[in-house]
Amino acid sequence: MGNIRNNSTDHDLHDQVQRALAAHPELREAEIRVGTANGFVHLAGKVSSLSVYLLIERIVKDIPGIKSVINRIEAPGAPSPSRSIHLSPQKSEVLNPSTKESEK
Amino acid sequence: MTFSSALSRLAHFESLPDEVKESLEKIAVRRTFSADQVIYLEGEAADFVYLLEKGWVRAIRLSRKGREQAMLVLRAVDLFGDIALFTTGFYPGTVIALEECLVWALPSSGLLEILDRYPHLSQAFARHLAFRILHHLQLVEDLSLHSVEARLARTLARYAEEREGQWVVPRRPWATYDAMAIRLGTVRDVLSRALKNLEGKGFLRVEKQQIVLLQKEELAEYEE
Repeated sequence: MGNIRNNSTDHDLHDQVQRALAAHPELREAEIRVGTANGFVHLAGKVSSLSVYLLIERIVKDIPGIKSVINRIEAPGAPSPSRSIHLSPQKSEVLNPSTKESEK
Repeated sequence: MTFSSALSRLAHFESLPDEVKESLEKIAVRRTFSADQVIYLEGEAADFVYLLEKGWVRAIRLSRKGREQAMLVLRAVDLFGDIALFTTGFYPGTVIALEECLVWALPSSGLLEILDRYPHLSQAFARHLAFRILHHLQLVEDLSLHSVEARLARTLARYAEEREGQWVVPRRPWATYDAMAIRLGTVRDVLSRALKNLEGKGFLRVEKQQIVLLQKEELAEYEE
């Protein structure tokens, strides 16, 4: 296995994600769980709507230094949290409901 | 089922003294997860170790290039989340419920205190983790030394169950071709071809609800 959270980058990213989400009044009630490893941000939890799901994704995506966001948050109309993830090696992307199966 | 009776069904933990089981039971919290729910995330602080009482879960991990690899598929009764407790304190992979699961969550801080008091429990964890290392060695060997066809053959033999005098691998709702392909480090088309090849060679028969292994021992040692 590779190193998990053994560097300050992942630790810092985690703090930045938590701070960015906490700064949004709309997300105060949301229980979002965050994991960071090797520059990837993993998200889980449950929100009431797809718009909140996408808002969280946008907020996290805007944080500098993040390779990609793996959004496994549960929301009406959102993709299954258990879907398989295959990111393009060249892209730093956020998986969202418009991501086609063949692109994952 | 109580926590102690679930623990009594777990290899290496079944013969722990009652005092140890009672100490663990005091801190254990019962939780349920429905199919597809995330139990914990890769890189998340490892606040709990989990005892799986009912159901199946899978552990996945993202490579540095963003490709998912299945690490483990666990069925009850088993333990997970314990690697993080003894290493970095952060989960090394994401664990997702494959169907409705009942788990007992043991807070890491409380568990470490109990471990300090009872060497029997430490030994049980050491044995459990040693077998987990063997599993991962097997996975490394499978991925690096064997073809997809051989990996598939060996995996099917490993997960086979004896039913009415024959060895079968039941097709569970979550065992899609995509999920199986990830487990074997390949893609759906290659997996499908490998399955057809093995069927064509007479090693197995693919049925709607199950895969019947006609030559289980040969599949377990299969090499191209």
